[in-house]
Order: sequence, then structure tokens, then C-alpha cells
Amino acid sequence: MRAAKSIALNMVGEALNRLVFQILLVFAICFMVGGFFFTYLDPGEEGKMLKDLGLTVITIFGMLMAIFLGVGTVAPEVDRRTIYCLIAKPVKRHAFFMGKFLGTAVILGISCLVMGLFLVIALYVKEQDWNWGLMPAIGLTYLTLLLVAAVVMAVSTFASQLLSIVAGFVFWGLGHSQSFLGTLRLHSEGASRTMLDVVGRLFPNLAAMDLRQWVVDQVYIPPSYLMVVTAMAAAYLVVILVIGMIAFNQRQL
Amino acid sequence: MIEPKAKKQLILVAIACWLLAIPLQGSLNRYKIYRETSTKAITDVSEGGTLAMVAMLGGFRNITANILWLKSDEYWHQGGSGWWRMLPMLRTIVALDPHFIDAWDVLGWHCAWNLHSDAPESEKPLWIENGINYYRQGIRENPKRYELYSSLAWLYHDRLRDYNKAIPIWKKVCSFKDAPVTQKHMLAHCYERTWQVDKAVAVWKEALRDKKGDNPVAKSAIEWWAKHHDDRAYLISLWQRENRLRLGRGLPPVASPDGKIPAPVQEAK
Repeated sequence: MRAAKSIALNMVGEALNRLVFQILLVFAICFMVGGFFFTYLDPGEEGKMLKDLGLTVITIFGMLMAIFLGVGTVAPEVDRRTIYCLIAKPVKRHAFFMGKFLGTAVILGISCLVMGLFLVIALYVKEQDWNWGLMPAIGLTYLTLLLVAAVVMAVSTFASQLLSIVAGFVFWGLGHSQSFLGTLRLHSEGASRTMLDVVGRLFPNLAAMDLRQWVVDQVYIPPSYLMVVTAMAAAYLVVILVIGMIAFNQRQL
Repeated sequence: MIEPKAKKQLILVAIACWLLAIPLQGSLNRYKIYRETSTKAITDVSEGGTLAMVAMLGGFRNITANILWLKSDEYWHQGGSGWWRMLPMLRTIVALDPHFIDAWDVLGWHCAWNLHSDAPESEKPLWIENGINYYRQGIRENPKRYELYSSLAWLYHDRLRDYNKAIPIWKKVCSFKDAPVTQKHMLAHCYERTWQVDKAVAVWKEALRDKKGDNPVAKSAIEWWAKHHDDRAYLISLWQRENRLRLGRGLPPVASPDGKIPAPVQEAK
């Protein structure tokens, strides 16, 4: 556990200094600031657009960070052979994997927090109202990003970086299509229905974790819903991390 | 390396978590907010084209709805055929974001006022009906918001001059705590035009209480009706004015609210 913590802290320090991470964060903030120039709309519409834009920017840039970080953790260390120094320490493989994931989780958390706080402060400047109600949406977006990062990391333990990136996007797409696939399943038979069943069970419903629309439209979200969705995300995260650890454990270095 | 025993334990933990996750995912269907957006058929958004479908599948419903909203604003300012292009766009917006109150409001208003005026004579009643249906659909999606009730009440009140249908809806609007006090003024006006003066005065008094006495409109209405409560001549002049307004809107004249004076006969053109 100590080894995992050290690897995580090291990774956080490295990532915070990396230009890619800083550029993505700056771009995200610039996009949000750009939205404040929609001054030709009615005040009510403008507020809605700014919140929608801000939350979507957090999601898109968060996803890009999750994928880049996920791809850039395990595979480059193996390619550069720097992993042998760690494994020889000895640092167990699963500790290395978990350390990298924890580091990724901290970086994504910092990014979501910074972007979220910036959005809330910017909205306060515009509307003179603290929009803390956006935080549950940002929180669940963070959980979604953790799932994407975990998938990318797990796939990167045995596949190429390109395939890992594709896997991340496919996971995202399938996760958001669950309700549509559910509708399709009702009209299917035989093998296609079975396949849709399997996909429905294998992939978490990421659309259910997407509260952006609801927080902006001020729809009441029951606390039990938040608990169910968080528990579901945590369960899937454990599954993905275990698969990643076992796959990395089996890999010939 | 993971020891074989630890590996087995990890696999068991993963299977247990997966078996836990499946019913948790299934239990989401009991939440209304999840059912509302998840069961929207892809055909609801297909009028918005590929963009809307990709948005729905990619998790970018709200931002796409906003982009389409900006586009529909552009069509509005174009006029002419732009007004007709707004319709599928607005329908896609409310399919993507059913809680976008302004979009429902504009959709209902656009059908009942603008498209109604632009449509051929034979289709005009259809556009009023479409406006009413869209408002009702918007209310079903957003039953806790007063705005669409208010717009529907206004449609009956101003567009159709049907105060008997407007009254129950204005009453519903007034039951919302966040509805502004001016909604009570509209209800009072409806009662006045249907010659239910006592009810109108009661509503004016409520409006005055809501503003803790600082409501000059309600105050002057109460004072007026205190003087003219039994003034039948004034009520008749209200009814005659109403019929003139109805003729201006292409609506047939109506009998007096107490039924004692028949509707004036319209001269053949």
C-alpha cells in the first residue's frame, strides 16, 4: 500500500508539470470564458447556456485527460523499460497498477475541482448567485472519468496505446447508449437480443450518471438516486480495476 | 506477482461487485427522472438530424439543445420559411431537453400565434390545437413549473378569449408559491369578464395581501368594484368591448355571461 501511495504521489507531481495537462486545463477555462460573450440572449437563457457549456467543457476535457492519463501511465513505463527498476525494488505489479490509478484519480479530481470552482465563481460574477447545485453533476462526472481512465489503463496493460484510446471512446459511447440499446433489445430476438443483454450488463449506464441536464434545469434529484448511481459506479470500478490488475499480472514484461 | 490465493479472492470480489452492479443498474428505472430522459425514442430527436442523434448517444443532449435553440432564434429572425423551419428544430430541442421551459413555451406560442397567422384558412384551427397540445405536453414533463400553465392559460385568455377554460388554469398557476402576484391579476380579470365580480374582488384582495398592501393595481380594482359592484351598465360595456376584441381576432361574438343578452348577429361580408 505504501508503494502504491508513493507511485501515486510521484505521478501527481509529474502530471502537474506536464504541458499537456496544463494546456488542457487552460483550454477548458478559455472555453468557459468564451461562453460569457453570449450577451445577446435573455438573462434566463444566458444562464442556462453558460451552465450547460461549463458542465460540458468539464466533461469533454475531463474525458480527454482521463484517456491521455490512462494511456500514459502503464504502457510508456513498459516501453521505456523503466518499470523494471520498480518491479525489482520489489514493488508488486498490482501495487504499481493501483498506484498509477490512484495518481490518475487525484489528477482528475484536481482538474474537476479547479474547473468546477472556476465555473461556480464565474457564474457568481455573472448572476450574483452561488450555483453549488452544479456540484452533484460534477461529482458524478468525476466518477465517470474514473471509469473511463480505469478502462483505458486496463486495456493498455495488454494492448497498444491506440487500441486503449479507442477502447476508452467505445466505453463512453456504449455507456451513454444504454437506454437506446435497451429499447433496441425490446424489439430484438434470438442472438441479437442475447448480445444486447450481455452489452447491457457488461457496461455501466453512463447516461444515468450524467446529471448535467437535471442540475441546470433544477430538477429535483432524490438523494437515494445519487447513492444508487455512486454504488453502481464504484462496483463497476472495482471490476475494471481487478481485470486490469490481473491482466497486468499475467503480462510478460 | 499476485499469489494464486489472492488472485482467486480478487476474482471473487470482482464477480460479487458485478453481480451487485447489475441490479443496482436495473433499479434506476424506478426513478422518474431517469425514466423521463432514458425512454425518449431516437425517433423523437431524428428531426434534428444526425447532430441530434449523435448528441443523444454521446451524452451531449443539453449542449446540442442549446445550439439548436440558437439556430431556431436565427430562423425566427429570418421570418417567412424560417418560421416553418423552427418547428422541427423546437421539437428536437424539447426531445433532447424536456425540461427546457423556454423551448416548450416558444413551441406552443409559435404554433398558436405565428404559424396560425401564416397558415391557410383551413389549417388555422389545427395550429391552435397544436399549440395547446404542446403546452400540455410541456406541462406533463414539467408539472412543478408554473410558467407553462401560465402560457396555456394566456392562450385561452387572450388568443381564444375563452375565460371559462382559462379560469381553472389560472387558479392552478396561482397555487404555485413562486408564481408572481400578477398571475392573480389575470385570474381576477377572467372573473370580471365572466361577470363573477365577487370572486374577482376576493382574488384582488388576495393579491393585495400577498404584496402586504403594496399593490396599487389591486387596490384601485377593489375600490372600483366597491363603487360599481351592481353596475350592470358597466358589465354590459365590458361584454360589448369583449365582442369587439373577438371580432378583431376573427372569433365569433358571444352572448352575455349571464345568458340574458344573445350574441349580436354578425353582418355577412
